[in-house]
Amino acid sequence: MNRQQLTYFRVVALIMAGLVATLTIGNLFTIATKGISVDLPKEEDIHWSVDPLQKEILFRTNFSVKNQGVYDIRDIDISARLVKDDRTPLFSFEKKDLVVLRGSNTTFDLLIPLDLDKISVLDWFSLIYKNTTLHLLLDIDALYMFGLIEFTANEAIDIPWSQPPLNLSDNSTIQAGVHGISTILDVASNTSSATFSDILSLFSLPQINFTTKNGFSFSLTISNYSDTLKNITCHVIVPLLVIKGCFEFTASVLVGFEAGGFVFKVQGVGVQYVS
Amino acid sequence: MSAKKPSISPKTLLALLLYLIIPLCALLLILQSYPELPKDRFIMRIYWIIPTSTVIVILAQLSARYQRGDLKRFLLNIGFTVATMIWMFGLLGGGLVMTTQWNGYDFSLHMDKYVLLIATVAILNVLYYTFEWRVYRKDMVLHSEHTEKTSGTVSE
Repeated sequence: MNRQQLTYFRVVALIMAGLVATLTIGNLFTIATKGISVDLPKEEDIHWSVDPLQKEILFRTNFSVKNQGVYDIRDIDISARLVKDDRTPLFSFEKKDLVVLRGSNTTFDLLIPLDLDKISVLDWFSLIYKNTTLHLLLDIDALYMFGLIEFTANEAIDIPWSQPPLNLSDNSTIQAGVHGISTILDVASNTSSATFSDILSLFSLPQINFTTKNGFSFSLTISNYSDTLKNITCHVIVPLLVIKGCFEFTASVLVGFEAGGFVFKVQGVGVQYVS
Repeated sequence: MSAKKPSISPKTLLALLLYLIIPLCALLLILQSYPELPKDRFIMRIYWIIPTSTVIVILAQLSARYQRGDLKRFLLNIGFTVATMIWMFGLLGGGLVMTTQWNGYDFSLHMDKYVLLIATVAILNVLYYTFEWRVYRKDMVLHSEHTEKTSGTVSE
């Protein structure tokens, strides 16, 4: 290598060093000073509604990205999973290849449909009749600065889920019935967790027939299957307020004691939309 | 008549500007303009920048004292490159992943590709210093041989 070639080499090395220094000072400081930032939704920013025609629950929320940097933010991939309190997944959702141009603030609306045909009846049932906390697990990836920097965020957002049946009546018998439904769901979801007190509380459930003015009704029909076994049939009708129609749920379980042990057997579960 | 060599080399002045004055001013400006940002991180960066950039400036000045092709200059230049890498590493937060908080949520910035680019540039600089040392060393040997011959002829 002669001196001339060495000079060219030096020029290339200097240009590269200058480029890296510029990228560091210009962009990492932009990121550090929140020139680029993401606003994820909080609990109160997540709304949901039931769409009976599509047979789905629609979760609506949004998140915004502020990009006051020099380059576009590209390949923004969002992956959302809604899980129950016990981490059982209800559904997952993905959105890919979103872009936020430089110098812009962009808000992305997220419409996350929960298809009722794709979740188990017990999950659907527990969504409607249990006070619980759902968790929205959000994974966000994005590329910046020619893909040299990758942003990632993994967050769990709690969605408190409270259902009306428990608040429908102060009557202790009605509330006992609703609690009985919750116990049935708990035990049905995880049979091994059935305790003596669970079975005893179900065994001693009263027969209930409850209807509200707006058409919501639930009934517990209890019949003797044998001396030590009872057949509990739960029938619930949930009217839809926006359009005419309702959801009807029916669950039948066998509860009691047999051969020195507990018995909890789901006889049948069904859900249907009635227009 | 040869021009008098300046006591502080241009490389030293450039290093002083790029590695100490500009980043320090930027960090102090950020601290003042964005009081909501966590101060600890920036203060830690300042504590990192001051000693490392001082080392960089000293190495730049020392290397300028020796001629090209001199082994000491070569080693000081390699030390200069390594020090700039350490400086950069500290400025990035001391790792490949930088965590920042936006709206109460944690976000991670993965900079492995970026650090790879920095390492490539450092290797490029090390290569340059190596080539520079080898090319100029040959010249120095030739020059010293020539000087010996000339002085030998004169003494004869």
